[in-house]
Amino acid sequence: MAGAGAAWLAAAWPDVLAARQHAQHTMRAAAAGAPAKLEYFTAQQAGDVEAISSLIIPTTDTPGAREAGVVYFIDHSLHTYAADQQKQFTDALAALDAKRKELFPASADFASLTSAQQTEILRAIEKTPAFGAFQFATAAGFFCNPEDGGNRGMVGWKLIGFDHAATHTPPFGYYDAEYLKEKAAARKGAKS
Amino acid sequence: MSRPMPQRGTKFGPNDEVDFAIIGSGAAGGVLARELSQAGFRVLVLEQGPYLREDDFQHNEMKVIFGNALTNNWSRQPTTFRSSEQEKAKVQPALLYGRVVGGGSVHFTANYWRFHEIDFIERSKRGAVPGADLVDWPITYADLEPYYTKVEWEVGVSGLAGASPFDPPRSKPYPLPPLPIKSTGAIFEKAALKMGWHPFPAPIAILSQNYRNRAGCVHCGYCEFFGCEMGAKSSTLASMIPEAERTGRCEIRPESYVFEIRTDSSGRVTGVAYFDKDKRENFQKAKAVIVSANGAETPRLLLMSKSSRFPEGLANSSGIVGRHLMWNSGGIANAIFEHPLNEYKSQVVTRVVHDFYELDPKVGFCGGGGMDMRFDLMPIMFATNGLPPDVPQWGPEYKAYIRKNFTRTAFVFCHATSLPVPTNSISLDPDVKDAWGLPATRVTYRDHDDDLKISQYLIDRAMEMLDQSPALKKWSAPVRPQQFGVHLLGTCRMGNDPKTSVINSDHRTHDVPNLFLCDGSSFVTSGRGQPTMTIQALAFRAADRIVRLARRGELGKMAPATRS
Repeated sequence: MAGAGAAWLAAAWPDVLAARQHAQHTMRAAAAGAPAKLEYFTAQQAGDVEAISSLIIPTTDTPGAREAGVVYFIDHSLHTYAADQQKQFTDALAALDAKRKELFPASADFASLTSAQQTEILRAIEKTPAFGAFQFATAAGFFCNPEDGGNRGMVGWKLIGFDHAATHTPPFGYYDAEYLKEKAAARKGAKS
Repeated sequence: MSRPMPQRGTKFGPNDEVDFAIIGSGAAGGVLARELSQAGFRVLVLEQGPYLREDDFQHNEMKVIFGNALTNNWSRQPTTFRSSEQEKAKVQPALLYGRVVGGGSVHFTANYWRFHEIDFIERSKRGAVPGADLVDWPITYADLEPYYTKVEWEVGVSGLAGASPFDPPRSKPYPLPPLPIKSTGAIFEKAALKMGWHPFPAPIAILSQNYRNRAGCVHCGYCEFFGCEMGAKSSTLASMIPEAERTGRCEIRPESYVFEIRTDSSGRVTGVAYFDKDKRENFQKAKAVIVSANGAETPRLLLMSKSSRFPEGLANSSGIVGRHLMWNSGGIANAIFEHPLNEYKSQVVTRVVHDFYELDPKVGFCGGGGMDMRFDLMPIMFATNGLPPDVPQWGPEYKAYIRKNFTRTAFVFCHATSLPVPTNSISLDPDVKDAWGLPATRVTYRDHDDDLKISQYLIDRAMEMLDQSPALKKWSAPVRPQQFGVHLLGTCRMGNDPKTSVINSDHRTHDVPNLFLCDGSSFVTSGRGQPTMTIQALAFRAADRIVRLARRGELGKMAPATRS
């Protein structure tokens, strides 16, 4: 998985599709709900993962990865249906840790660094496969169906205006609503 | 996701010699199963994937898309890719196909353009193209027209007849009105009209209203990549297969992975060998076999079915089985708008432009295409692959960008021709095996230069069109050769000459009298980017031809013959 989750792949459209499908190498599907306790990560790993995911989708005036329970989604996934990707993910964590030791040799772990220091480390690895794994896992945990354990309270969907209702009725958006109004006005004009 | 269900159709025993074994239950296989069983024949359909029902289809991006719930999974069925025959192919996802009862018609977008006259006679009209084996089809648009109409009425297609001045002649209007316009359709229609183009309501194989005991679309938005839990998308799962099963003469046998078509000493097919869901080998006797496994799996199965009589693979005396693979070319222009489009609602495409279907030869390349506007990314896809190159990939700006633009982004999709290049092919990888121990599919592909040129030409036109729209920002990436295909066409082409084609215009292989092929592999040219409608028109026509041969007794003693 060479950072496919991170790369902008706007080439011919089948390539885009390929890239989307590539992302399955980072995290695969078919989960039940995730409990709010750790099943796979050590406490230190969980702390690091939560810190990384909170840098990727931070808590601002709206909830971020932390509130969405992203770390529990990733932990549960790696413990269950995505167990075959444990090595990939722990390799990514090891790459992050190696960069931490290089840049901040006196530090104990990623989570205990200042946010400026964490940002510096993430920036140093943002073109690597490790970042792709973190970004995909974070986005998946933030925007997944809540039945998979992340996106708690649908905070991810609410953020982007994605209405998960089972059915919708037209008009769907601003421009089709305008279009229909114009057509109706033209019909009225034609009649009068 | 699969669970036991009461059998709806019939059930054949291992020693029952069925009239037809159909390999694949997708766009073509589903149609053939319905047509042949309704004509009185005993039909067994063998499908690689599971038999999912409408209740099994979930609104879950992770499970369905990233979990390959409806498609081939490269961890069990690896593919390899190379861009020329001189290279050693590398393991990478190289193609996608529907691997479920209903095949690709379960997850497809359902764009149902007919081919135009030019697609069948481009060689005669345009002349030879260096580097391509461009030839005419042995049939014309006029031969297929009644079957296009049949698809629209039997499967259920929504659209507006006469709305495009470029449309070929048709014998009947659509059975259903177009689906409601979306914001991309409204923006595209207005901007295209300013360009002097001729936008028209998209023909879509999704029911805009209730039709033949099936419910109309409820606009849930889980459409492309997903199975329709309403049965409104006109997959063969929703439209054809229930009708086949109701005849009492058709069995759908899921999780049956055919790996060999066997022949006797006279060179006739005797049946098929397959792995069941527990990877046990089985053999099913059949009087005739129809392969509708898609443009990759059909040639792969023929190449795997080698014998002393057929040393290069079954029905491959021409040596061209697997060759002339065509994916359709194309590209994307991206745009962001001020107000929400909410494209995540409803089905995908509502307006299409065919002004570039046939181009003036002065453009300097062979080919043509069509265009639509859409936004077809689910939230996780958008957050990981939907951002422009100048936006940060993490942090507050990343979050703010996704927050603002998930509902405000649109893509102009350009769909175009691929020329039939003999070295673009499906073959058996000499080293890599799948989880059943079968040779992996090896893809060799490099777009013809003209395919890259038509793609760039259409992207340039799309960018000009966006200037006439209220887009706040637009961008595109340069066209690159493709390394991944979802349209799998041309690999067992139809033709009159056994030396240069694999099947005749009845879909009968030139080499084996009771073996037929019908799917995207039958194509001689690629069309302009939406092949499924033509796959189904071919399937309805093939069914007519095959029924005629069977009733003449050319395929042995079959069920309707014994009755009469």
